[in-house]
This record gives sequence, structure tokens and C-alpha cells, in this order.
Amino acid sequence: MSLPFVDRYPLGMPCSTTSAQGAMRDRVYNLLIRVGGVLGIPGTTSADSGATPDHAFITQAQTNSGVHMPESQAPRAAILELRRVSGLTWDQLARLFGITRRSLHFWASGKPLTPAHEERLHRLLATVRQLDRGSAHANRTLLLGVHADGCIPFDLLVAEQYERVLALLGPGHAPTRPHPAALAVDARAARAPYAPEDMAGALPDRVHIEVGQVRVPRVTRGRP
Amino acid sequence: MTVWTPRCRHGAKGTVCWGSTGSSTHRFDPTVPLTEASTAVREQGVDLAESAVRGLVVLTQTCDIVRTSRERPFLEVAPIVEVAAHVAHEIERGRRPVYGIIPALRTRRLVADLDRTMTIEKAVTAQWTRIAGCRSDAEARRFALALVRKRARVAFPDDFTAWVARLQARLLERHDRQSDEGRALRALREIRVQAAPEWDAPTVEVTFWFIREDEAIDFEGQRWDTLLGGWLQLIPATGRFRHVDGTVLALEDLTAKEYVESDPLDLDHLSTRGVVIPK
Repeated sequence: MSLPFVDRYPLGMPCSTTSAQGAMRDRVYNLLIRVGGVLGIPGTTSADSGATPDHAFITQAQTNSGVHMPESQAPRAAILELRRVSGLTWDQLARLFGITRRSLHFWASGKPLTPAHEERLHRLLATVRQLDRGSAHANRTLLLGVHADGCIPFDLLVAEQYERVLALLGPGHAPTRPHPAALAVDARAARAPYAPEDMAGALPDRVHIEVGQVRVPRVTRGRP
Repeated sequence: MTVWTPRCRHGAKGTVCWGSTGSSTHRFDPTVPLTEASTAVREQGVDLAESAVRGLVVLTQTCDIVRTSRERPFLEVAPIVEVAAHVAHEIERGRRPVYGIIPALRTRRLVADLDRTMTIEKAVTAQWTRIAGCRSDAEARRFALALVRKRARVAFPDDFTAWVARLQARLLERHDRQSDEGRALRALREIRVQAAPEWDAPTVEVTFWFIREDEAIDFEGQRWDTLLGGWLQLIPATGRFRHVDGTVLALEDLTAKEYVESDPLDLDHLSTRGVVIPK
């Protein structure tokens, strides 16, 4: 966790209720201040040295979130759904987890999350699904807007106050999107681009076999 | 001259004209002839050369062809030329954007020379025999893809193409190998790159989208993020490119916005650019 994150989202927000009754949140934030302000612990599971030390969140791992997490819902897929539905940028999503953007990209590519991060991910996804207005832009605007009581829902998500966010914004009742039938295999193949190695290795030289017959064309010049 | 008509379909390119006595005409400067054809006729006081070709392929879209000749009197055509078998294969794969494969002529190794397009009036083709060149929707799409590729290649900044050369070399070097990485690269559908705020900005955030095939969630027990880490190490932030990120994901995971705001990683081969990658 970086210091700017802690500074940007101070802990003294008036919103207090979470699905975990705040116990988990308080402990995490105390730890964040200590880590960000003093230690700067090296060695993370991400490829970026600036990422949050994953073990800083281990205290969160064994809580019972109550969020249903089916086996088929891989974290990778959950991150990508969270991004699609929320409309938040990669940078904003990384701030939700207190990690770098690069770490988030690696998660989306299949890098395992700590149990604590995974729990947090599914809580966020469940929340965003419920408030979904059916448009990424509308959802992002909603999350980043200032509410009447001065709260910014995004900040509440950072503080893991998911129920508070839902209470403020209400359910989204997103319209059901059409699910067109899958294209035939051949039809999909016909729409495929050229393969990456061919695109990245284009040969511009002219190598055809000329017929070899040349003549002067019959020309009639028009007057301008 | 034989004229090959396309499978009639609104908007489909690929009316193919083919025969044994076609010709392609181009203008040149007699004081600086650049081709064998122009050199051969420069002494005759002309600035036009007419070269024999194996036929012509009509590039004009069908919906424009069927309009009246008074409304739309012109057709855009390209010469049909012969290539070696291995070159035809490269053209089919899209490795040679100068040419376009013509599906109906594929077995004859005859392709469209997209560098020498020219305009003719429709009436010129009136006496030509017409033969279908694209016989299905899929063939028409592949032919159209070649035309689009020729005209829509992104002009990446020079410093980008130099910077990305190590990644490009890795892609080309490992792709055909029977290694884990080679197989992984073959499971990629497309590589796209996004530059924010824009390519010409003083500092640029670059994001690579490595788009895998839908079913390749985990690659033969290997995690994609491991491969991703190796690829990103080849393009460390430097110069104007101060922020570099990348993700391996399926097409359905990429938003339409990200797709539209990114460009396919379409680059000339390193050897043609004189780039030598240090070992």
C-alpha cells in the first residue's frame, strides 16, 4: 500500500457500517498506516516492487464474508467483470485494492490472489452487480459522484463499506442484455484477424514473377 | 480478358477479373525510370508504360459496381500476378500486405498486386468474361481483410517501433518453436497496443492487450501471467514510454472502448528495417 492511497482516502469518514461490522476494516486500516508510513516492506507477489505486500492483508483472509463464490468464478474472470460493470479504470480499480495497476493486470492475466484479496474482490463484485444501472458509464459516474451527505461511494468501497454503498445508491435493476446465439465456427474464423506473428513480421518487398512484356500504351491526352 | 464476378452480395469486395491478356498501366518520369517497364519504354518519348499481367481483380465494392455507369463510371482494379508457392502461403497468412490472396485463384498461385491499383471505366470490362473470385462470405471477408490491411496499417512512431523491437523479435523467434512459449504464442489471437493520451504526446502510457483464444484460459498448466511477465520485461519503461502495462485476456474480456482505442501490433519485419537485436 502506498502512502498516497492512505492520504487520498482518510479513515475518518462518517460512514461506518459494513457487512463485517467494521471489525475487519479497522484492523486493515491500522495495518495500512503502519506499513505505508514506516516500513515500505520489500518483496511482493506481484511483478512490481511498488505493489502492496500481500501478507499485509492476511488478517482478512479467514473472515466469513457471506458472499457466494462459486468455483467457476475465477478471480481473473471476476476482476474483468468488475471492470466491465463498474466502468472504473484499471488505475481506479487498483486503488480499490491498494495495489499498483500492474499488479491488477497480472491478476487479470491469472496470477493468484491472496485469500484476503480474493474475498475483497468478490465482495466488490457482488456490490457492483447489485447497483448496476446497465451502463458502465452510468455506474462509474454513480461511484465517483459526491452523494448528498458528502460521501463518495468509491471512497466507501475503498473502506469496504459495501452495505453503505448499496444503501446510498440502491439496487440498479439493470435491463437484461440480449444474448445473441453463438456464431458458427467458420463464421468466427472468417472474422479472425491475421495471427500476431504475421502482423508483427510484415514483409514489404515485392517478390512476384513479372510476365515481362512491356509496351507503350496508346494515349490520347485531354486538354485541361 | 476474363472477368470474374463476385458472389453478389451488398458491400462485398472482390469482383475478380482474370484472363491471359491483361495489362497494367502506370505513369513514370522518363528522366528517372524506377522499374524495368519504364526503363524499357523511356526512349520512346512517353511517360506511360503498359505491362502485361495475368489479369485484373476488381476492388470496387459490389454495391458500387451495380450502380449505373453514369452515376459511378469507374472501377478500381489491381493487377493479378504470379508468386512462388511459399510466397502465396505468406500472403494468405497476411505476412505480405503488398499482396492480397484471391481465393478462387489460390491454387494457381495468382494474387492481387495491391501496390499497382488503377482506375478504369466500367465499359472497359464489358467484353470480358466474368468468373467468381470469392465464392463464399468467408472468402469475401478474407479478401476484404487484405485490402483493409494494405490501407489501414497504423503508422507507429519511430521511437515506438525501436522500443518494441525486442518484444517483436521474441514473438517472431519463439512462435514456431515447440516450446511452452511457442505454443502459448500460437494460442494468442491478436496483440493490440493502446497509447494514452495519444501516440504523439510527450509522455505516453502504453498498454498491451494480449488477446488469447477463448478456450486458452490456462495454457497447458502454465499461467499466462508468467509469460506476460517475461514479455513485459522486454519493454521496460523508457523515453516517452514511461508507463507500460499489459494483460492477457480473452476477446470478450476486452471492452469495446479498449478495442476501439487500441491498434493492432502491425510492424514491418525487423530485417526489413535493418534492426539488429542484441543478444
